[in-house]
Amino acid sequence: MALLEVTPKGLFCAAGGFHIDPSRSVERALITHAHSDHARPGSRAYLCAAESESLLRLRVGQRAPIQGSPRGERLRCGEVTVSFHPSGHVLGSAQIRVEYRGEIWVVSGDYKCASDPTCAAFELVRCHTFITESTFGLPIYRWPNPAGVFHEMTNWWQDNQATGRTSVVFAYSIGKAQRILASLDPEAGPFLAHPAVLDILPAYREAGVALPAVRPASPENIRTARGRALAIGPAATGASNWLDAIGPHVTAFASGWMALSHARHRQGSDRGFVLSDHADWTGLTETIQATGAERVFVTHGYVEPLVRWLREQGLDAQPLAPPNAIEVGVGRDVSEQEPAREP
Amino acid sequence: MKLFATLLEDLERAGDAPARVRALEHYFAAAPPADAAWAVFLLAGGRLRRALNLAQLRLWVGEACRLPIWLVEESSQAVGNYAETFSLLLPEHLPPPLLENGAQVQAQQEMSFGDANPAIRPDMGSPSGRLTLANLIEDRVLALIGMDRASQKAILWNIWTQLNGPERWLWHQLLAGSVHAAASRKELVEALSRKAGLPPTLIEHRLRSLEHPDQRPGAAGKSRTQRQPARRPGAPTPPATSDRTPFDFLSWIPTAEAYFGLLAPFDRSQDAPAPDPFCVTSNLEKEPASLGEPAEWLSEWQWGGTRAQLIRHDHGSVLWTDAGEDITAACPAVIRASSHLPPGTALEGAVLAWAQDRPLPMVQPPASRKRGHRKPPEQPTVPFIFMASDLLHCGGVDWRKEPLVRRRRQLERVLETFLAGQAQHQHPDSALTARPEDFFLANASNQGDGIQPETAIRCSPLLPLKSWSEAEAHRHAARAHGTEGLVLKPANSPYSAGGWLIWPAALFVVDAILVGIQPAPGGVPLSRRAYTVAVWDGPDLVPIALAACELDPAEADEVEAFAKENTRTRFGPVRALAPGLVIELAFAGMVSTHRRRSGFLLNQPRAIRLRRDRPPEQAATLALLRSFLSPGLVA
Repeated sequence: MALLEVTPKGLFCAAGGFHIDPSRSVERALITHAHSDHARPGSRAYLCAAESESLLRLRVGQRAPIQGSPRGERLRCGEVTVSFHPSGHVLGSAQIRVEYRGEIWVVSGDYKCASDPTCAAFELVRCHTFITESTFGLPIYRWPNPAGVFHEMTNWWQDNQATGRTSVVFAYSIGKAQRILASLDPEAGPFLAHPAVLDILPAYREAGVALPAVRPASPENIRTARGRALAIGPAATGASNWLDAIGPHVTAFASGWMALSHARHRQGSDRGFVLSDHADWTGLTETIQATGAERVFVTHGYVEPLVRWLREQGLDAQPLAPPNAIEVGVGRDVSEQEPAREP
Repeated sequence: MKLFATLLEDLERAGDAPARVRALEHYFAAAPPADAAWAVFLLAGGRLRRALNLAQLRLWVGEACRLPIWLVEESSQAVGNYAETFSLLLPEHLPPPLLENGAQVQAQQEMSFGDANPAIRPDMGSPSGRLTLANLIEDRVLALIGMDRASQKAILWNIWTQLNGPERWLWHQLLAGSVHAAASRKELVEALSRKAGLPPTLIEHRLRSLEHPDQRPGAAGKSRTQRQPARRPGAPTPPATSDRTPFDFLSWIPTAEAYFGLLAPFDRSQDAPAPDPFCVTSNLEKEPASLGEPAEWLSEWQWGGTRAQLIRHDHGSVLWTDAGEDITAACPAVIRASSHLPPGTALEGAVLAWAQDRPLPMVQPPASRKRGHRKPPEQPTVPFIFMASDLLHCGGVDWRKEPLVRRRRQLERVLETFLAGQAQHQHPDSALTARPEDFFLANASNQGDGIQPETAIRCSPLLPLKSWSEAEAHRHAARAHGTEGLVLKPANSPYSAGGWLIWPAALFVVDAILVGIQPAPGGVPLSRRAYTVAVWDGPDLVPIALAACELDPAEADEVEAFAKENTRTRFGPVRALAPGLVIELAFAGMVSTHRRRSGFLLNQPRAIRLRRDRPPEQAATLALLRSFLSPGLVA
């Protein structure tokens, strides 16, 4: 019997008696990171990386039974040993290493290899079986250097300041938005943020991430800033009311999907910045090779192409869920928002 | 070519039309003329011949990226087009190319331009060495056609190493034959007109003349290979027809000279004049009796079609619509016929689709556009005629200040002379060489005793107007003649005073049942919805139209309230309602079609009134509507 198996409630370890990122309420849930498609309220006990605890509380409830595991700690769950290793996706995101009688499985969760000032860098964990995401699992996705992207963003911001228009950046409110705030130069102008982004900032500051001063994106603050501000908020259609009060503005969308012209066009923002919190093709393929795993399970994205590619490289690769499985976290990750379709 | 690649990027990022025009102006201010000519060609939609077989290019891209072809194909599915896919897949630094068919392939560091076979590239001078757009297209894209594989591969690698991502995307689009730019033709023309300081209509006309050289006088009747654009004096003679070069496939050859010609000052001997402003018309709101004596008015049919001005100038003719479009290329028969008019004449009228002796009815619904279907068969070319109703200039004299009755008399006189002149130009062989368009020219019968020959330029007949009741009777007969109603013009008015009143023919009105409601297309506010209406066919309800809402606000609110209460099902934003409300539906005409369940398509259906007094059982039946389709009753 495999160490980790797909069940209707999610990935389950029978020898340890726990689920990983379950889609329903379970007895014991190990959580890779606090995004809504991985962390759901209702379970009886939660275990996560220590840095992820405050964000997880925001997600599943302040009084939920959450235990945080600091870096380097190995815990015993049933007959298996589990440990959390940084995955570099958002603050507190982790890969979960499960060991049973010498056999090592690693669930990557969502990860990226690029540097990020808001979270610990990806840590390579060698294993026998690797369960990987594949959100951007095609060779067309190769990210430019993030430093270059932030430089572009700053130039764009300054061009907009010259014409007196507020710069508005749409980015996912947990992770991406904070990465942008931490990476741009605060000397360039004032930062404003939508409430969805503001609510997350205290958790980041407590964790020691250096963030600049950010004020709410209210009409008074916008007026005071007189076209020099950069406002960050989510791009969900329901949240677009906050733009009505902003006055003349120029919009941009920060996401890995902006690498494709049809996605830029569909999204409708004036500008697209190719910035992602997931690994690109190079990151995925190099990481998978570097773990030394002989067996690879692929989930969460371009599953079939990546599986076929890995098989052609000589690995034993398969999709994580059988084709008729339900609700096991396949599909697009919410943190990489696809441009909204019109109804 | 880096400038052009930057332009395409800027056009994509620009949010609105003024920003795009600014980006285009910026480009044309900086680009060298040979490049600018090619830019105009590409942005106006010009196509090159495909330089490289797609399958071969895909193989080579796979080799350059070291990826299997299935993965390249999978990637192109995600991206949506090959040009962008290839540019995303190629790495920054390419591996050296492999041997091709045993021939040595070397990506030389510098391949100087101008190496191409001079027989392929007639009389094109280009600055040596630099990677400009003109060089790239002429010496690399067009020259690739017909080369052996090893040389093609060498060129491909050579160019790839010199370009970055967005530039490679442009290069791939050029290899495929056309460039997709976010700018419309209007924006291109606007930018050029700002650079030259000339009105946009002039630029538009010049551009169209470049693209459709057979509209120039004397060019009719030449086959494609015989048609040659203007060449510089002293240029070598072009190659014989049998050796077609890639340049022959271009609709026009963009040279620096052509570009300067586009921007040159207005030249009376070369250019067509812009149209005069059209006079203002309005709808007749009051009773016709309140207009005064019938004797002070002239009445004609209000033709459908497009209002246009036909200008016969010194060296040809041009046809402008009231929206400022140059439709010279679309109406070849009219232009040919107008060559018999005296130069310096301008007529105003309508461009109509014509068959036998009446206008064609409303255009049929377009063929299915669903993806995956085969392309619909080519629509047969529709014969257009020009129905003249007013004379603005005649033989160089401005007639616009003259009263309408004098202009009309002069118009009739000119057209009679013109028709007689046409009869003189007939020669006995015309029947043998006649083509379908020649149907509109005078036929070989020149009896000259009152029988009007078929012609592409006609005079809109004046209707007798002795009393307003007579006008009313004409109005009722309007649809039977294929027109949309009457137009009343003050008899003694100069052209600029206008005052023309359009009296549309009565609409057909039926009582139909409201069965669906949905947001109107085009983003109008919620109160202006679109209604699906149906009529009875035995016990069933058959939907007949999606009607625009022209109810009073109070009635519209009542319909909304009804819809909220009586929704049976929802299909997204569309609500299907239980039958209960009767709407008065007005429409201008009907056309029979097999693609609708009802068997017909209504022209401009709108809901004009809510009939609260009628129960649904008393609404119209399908049989009643189908009876309208009999000829003579509807347009």
